[in-house]
Amino acid sequence: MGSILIIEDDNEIRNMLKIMVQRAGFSVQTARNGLEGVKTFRRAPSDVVITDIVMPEKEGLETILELRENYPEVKIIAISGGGRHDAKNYLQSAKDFGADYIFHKPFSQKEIITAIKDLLKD
Amino acid sequence: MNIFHKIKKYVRSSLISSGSEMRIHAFTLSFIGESKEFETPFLKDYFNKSLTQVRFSLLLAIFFFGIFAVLDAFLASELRTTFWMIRLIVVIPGIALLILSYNPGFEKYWQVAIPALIFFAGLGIVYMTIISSEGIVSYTYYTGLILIFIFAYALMRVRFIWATLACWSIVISYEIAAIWITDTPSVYIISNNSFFIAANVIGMFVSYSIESYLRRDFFLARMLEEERIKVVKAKDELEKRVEERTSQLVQTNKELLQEIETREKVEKEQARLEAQLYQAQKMETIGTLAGGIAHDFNNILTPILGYAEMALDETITNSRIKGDLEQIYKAANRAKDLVQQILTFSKQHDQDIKPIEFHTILNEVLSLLRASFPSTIKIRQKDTLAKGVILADPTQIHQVIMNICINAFQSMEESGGVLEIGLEKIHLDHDNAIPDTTLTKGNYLKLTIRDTGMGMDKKTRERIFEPFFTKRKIGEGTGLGLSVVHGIVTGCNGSLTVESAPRRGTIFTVYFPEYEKKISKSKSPNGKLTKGKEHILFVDDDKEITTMANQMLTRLGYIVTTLTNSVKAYDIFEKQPEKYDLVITDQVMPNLLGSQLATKIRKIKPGIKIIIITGYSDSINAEKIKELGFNGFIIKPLILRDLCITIRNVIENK
Repeated sequence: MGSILIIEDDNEIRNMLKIMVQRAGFSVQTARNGLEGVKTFRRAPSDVVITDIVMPEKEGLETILELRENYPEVKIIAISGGGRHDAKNYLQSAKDFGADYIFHKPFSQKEIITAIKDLLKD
Repeated sequence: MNIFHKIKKYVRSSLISSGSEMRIHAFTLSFIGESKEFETPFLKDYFNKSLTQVRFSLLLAIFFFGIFAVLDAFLASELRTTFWMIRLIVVIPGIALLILSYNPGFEKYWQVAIPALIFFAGLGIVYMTIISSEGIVSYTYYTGLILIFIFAYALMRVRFIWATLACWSIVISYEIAAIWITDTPSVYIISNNSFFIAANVIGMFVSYSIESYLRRDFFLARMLEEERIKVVKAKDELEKRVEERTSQLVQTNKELLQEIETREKVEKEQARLEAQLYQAQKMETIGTLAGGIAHDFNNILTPILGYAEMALDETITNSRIKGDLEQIYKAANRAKDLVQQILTFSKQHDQDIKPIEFHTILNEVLSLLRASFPSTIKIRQKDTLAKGVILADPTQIHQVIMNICINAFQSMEESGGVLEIGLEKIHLDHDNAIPDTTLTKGNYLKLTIRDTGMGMDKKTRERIFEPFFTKRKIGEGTGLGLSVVHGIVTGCNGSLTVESAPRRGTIFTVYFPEYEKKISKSKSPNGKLTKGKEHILFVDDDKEITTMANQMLTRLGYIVTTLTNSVKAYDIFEKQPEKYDLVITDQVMPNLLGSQLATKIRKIKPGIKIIIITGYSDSINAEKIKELGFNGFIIKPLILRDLCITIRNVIENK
C-alpha cells in the first residue's frame, strides 16, 4: 500500500481526509500549508499528495509546481472549495500545472479513494 | 396801453396756466403765430355755432326794419313811398340772405354779406334822414342807426373787424351826407356824432370781448381736446404696455412652470437612477458576500458529508443509526446544491458560455412545464416565438425561464390562471431606451412571462431579486430562485424588469443581447492558461515568490528575469531596455518602491508594460495605479492563475 501526504489548512477537512485515507489502508502524513507540505515531502516522500489550493504560506498551485519540478514521479490530487474565483478555476489551473486528479469540495469519500487507488495502480 | 393790449394781456394771462399760450392779433383777433393753425377750425366752429342766432337776428332785423314802415306812414307821409322803397331794397336782400343761410355755401361769404347788408341798411337810414331834410325824421331817424349798430356788434355774430368796418362806414356816410349834402345844423351833427361814436365804441367793446372770449373758449376746448387725446393715447399706450408686460409675465410664468416641470422630471429620473444604482450596489454586495459565504460553506460541508459517508460505510444495514446518517448525508447534499445556487447568483459559478438558440431552450422548458403544471393553469404562447441566438450557458438559461415560471406557478397555484409566454426581437436605437434597465443600444431578444396570479405590491417587487427574500413560509423555498435569475441575466449583459400589482398578476420581461458573432475570446478565467514568449522582468524582494513565478512563467513559455532588489533591477533594465516586454514588480520593497521603479523604467522605455503587485493595505490602489499610467495590478496573496491572466491581458492590451 502507498503513502499519502495531505496538505490542507482546514483542520477538520485535514483530519477527515486523514481518517478516510487511513481507513482505506494507506499510511498518512499531514501538513497545514504548502511550505510545510514541501518540507515534509522532502524529508519523507509520499506516493500521492492531496493538496488544497487556497492556503496561507504557500498556496496549492505553487506547491504543485514545485513538487512537479523536483519530483516528476509524484502523483497529485488537488482539492478546492474556491476562493476569489470559483473552485473550478483553481482546479483547472492545478490540472494545468500537473495535478492528476482534481476534486471540488465537498467531495465524496468514494471519489477520493477511487482516485488514490487509480493513481497507485501505475 | 390801449384797450386791445389790456384785453389781450388778460386773455393771455388766463391762458398761461394751460401750458400753451394763445396768440391772437390785437385788432383783427385772428389767431397768429403758434396759434395760427386754430384760425380755420375756429371760423368753421364759429359759423356752426352762430348760424341759428344769425338767422334769428336776420328775422328780427327784417321785422323791425319792415315794421318801422308804419312809423314812416305817420312821421313822413309825403315821403312814405320812397321810404318804403328804401325799406324794401334792404328787406329783400335780408330775406334773400336768410334763405341763402340754408345753402351750404353761406359759410364762405356770410362774414362779408351780413356786414354789407348792415352797411346798406345804415345807408338806407342815412338816405332817409337826408331826403327828409327837415322835421322829425331828419332829427330822430338817426337813432335807427343805433339799432343797426346793436345788430352789427352784438346780434349778427359778425366778426369784430367786419362789424367795426361796416358801422364806421355808416357813420362816415352820415358825416358826408350831413355836412356836404344837407345843411344839418352843427348842434345836431355834434349831438348825433357823440351818440354814434359812443354807440360804436361800446359796440366795438362788446364785439371785441365776445369774439375774444369765443376764441379763448375755442382755444381752451382745443387744448383740452389735445390733452384728452394725449391722455387717451397715454392710456392706450399704458394699456398696451400693461398688456405686453402681462403677456411677458404669462410667458415667463409658462417658462418657469416648464422649468419646474423639467427639473421635477430630472429629479425624478435622478432619484430613479440613484435607486437603481443603490439596488445594483446592494445586489453586488450581497453577491460578493454570498460568494464568500459559499466558499466557507464548501469547507464546512466537506467534513459533514465526508464523515457522514464514512459513518454510513461503518454502519450495519437497516440499523436506526444508518437511517439517521442517511438523513444527514441527504441534508448536506441539499446544502451543497444550495451553495451551487448561491455561486450562480454571485456570478462565480463556472459557465459553459456558447452561442445558443434561445427559442430551442424556451420550447424545451415549455414542454417540461406543460407536463408538470396542473390543469388549472393554462400555458399560452403569445404569437410565434422569435428565433435568435444569444451567448449564454444553456443550463443557466434553462434555469432563468424555469425559475420565473415556477414563481408564476406559485402565484397561481391556489386560484389557477394563465401563463403567457412571448419571445420577440427588438432593436434599441439608443442607450437606456428601456426604463429601469442599463441596456445599451443594439439588438435584443425580449422574453415576456406573464401570469394572472396574485401579483405583488411595490415593496415586494423591489426586493424580489434579493437573495433569500421569499414570501413563502420557511421551509417552502430557498428564496434564491429570482436572485439566481437576476445573476444569470446580468451576467449575460442582459436586463430584466418586473411589472406587478396585487391581484393583477405579474409580467417579467427579460432582455438578452442578441449574439452577432463578434464576441472576443471568452475572458472567463476558465480554461487552459495561455502561453507566451515575451521577456518578463519580475521583481519581488521575497525570494520564494520570484522562484515560484520563474518556474511557472518559464513553464508557460515566457523568458523570465527575476530579481529581489529593485535598485539592481533598475540597473539591469537600464543596460538593455530593449530586451524586456513587461515588468512585474512588487510595490513594497526597500530602497526603491515598485511604483518608483516603474516610473524610472518608463523614462527609459516609455511604452513598456508594467504590472504592480500590491497588498490590500498598501498605500497604492487600483485608481492610483491607473492614474500613474501602469497597465495592471495584482492583489496579494499572489494566485498564480490571476498572474497569468493579468499578464496575458496586459500584453494583449485587453
